[in-house]
Amino acid sequence: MFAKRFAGLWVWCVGLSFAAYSQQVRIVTVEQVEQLLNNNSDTVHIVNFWATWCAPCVKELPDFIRLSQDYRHQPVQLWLISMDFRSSLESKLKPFLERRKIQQPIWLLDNTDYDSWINRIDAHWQGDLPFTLIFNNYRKQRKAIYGETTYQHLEQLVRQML
Amino acid sequence: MKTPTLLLLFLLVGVTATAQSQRTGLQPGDIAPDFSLKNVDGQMVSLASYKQAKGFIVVFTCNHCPFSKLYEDRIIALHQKYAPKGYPVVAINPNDAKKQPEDSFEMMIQRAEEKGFPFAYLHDETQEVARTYGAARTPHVWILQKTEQGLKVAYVGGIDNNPENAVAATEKYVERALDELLAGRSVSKPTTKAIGCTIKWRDM
Repeated sequence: MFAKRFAGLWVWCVGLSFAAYSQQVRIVTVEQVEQLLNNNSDTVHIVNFWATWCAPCVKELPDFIRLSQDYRHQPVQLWLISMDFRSSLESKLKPFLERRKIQQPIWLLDNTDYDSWINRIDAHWQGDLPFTLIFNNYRKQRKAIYGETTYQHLEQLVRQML
Repeated sequence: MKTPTLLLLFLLVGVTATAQSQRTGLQPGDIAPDFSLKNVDGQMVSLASYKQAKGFIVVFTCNHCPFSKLYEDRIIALHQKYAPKGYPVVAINPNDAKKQPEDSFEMMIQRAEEKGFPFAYLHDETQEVARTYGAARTPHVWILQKTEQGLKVAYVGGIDNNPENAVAATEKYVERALDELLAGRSVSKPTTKAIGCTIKWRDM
């Protein structure tokens, strides 16, 4: 009786952790990212373009996650947009998320024809990773960070836009 | 008397800040300055030493960056195809070896040997060339054309539109630009953008 109940619980737990890691990656188009960037709510959106192969991106990822957790009671939303190839979703991205215990939702931008869309995201971005946009469109505030950043810098920008 | 000076100072600061945020560098039509950098064979190389060249494919690249690695064979192929036509590849590694040990001069020598680079692979130790050109990532390409005014920038950007698979690329930006130059035409797409690794700048 107990064993049966435990078995059910075990299946449920495994299923939950499986769901946490396997369904968190959403394949998106450039249009979906543009929609996000045009979001007019009074929320500070932090949009970080990164990739598992990008060492400085991986290094600063915990800072982004920590910041979004520290500000979880305020209108601050983190969007992690992976530039990993779609073909490496199973072989690289998902194992990476599992290994690092990253449970945040991830968008995988499935478009390697970069020249067709980089300027639509930011005219001054040269395509170098990491790249981060922080904005609150409702307050008409927007800041781009080309290259690496720090928790302190991110927090300073977030506070300005809250 | 003091106010205009202050105002001018503010204006200057403002202009500098804008220039930095836009990260300007050499754009199509600009004249590119020559440089003298150490090649993996230990010799100093400058563009002026290529007497026969009609121009150059200057590629900022490095050892460690996965996107640079993806393009290595394509950069070799570009040199093999276009050096005989007057446009050799000149590859430049601008990364700070302290920040990225894989991009040290010793490792450059090793990489050039492993891959059998047929072109110069230069070390931009002071990062001055990368700053002057406005290199922002690896790989990042400048095509220069020898003219009476000097080395004129004809193209700035990526190599093609498919980093993952060379065969599947539907647009070969650098090849098309070179073919147009060699046919005496102007470059139809003088700038493109691509994803790449940030340049590992030294801490100031």
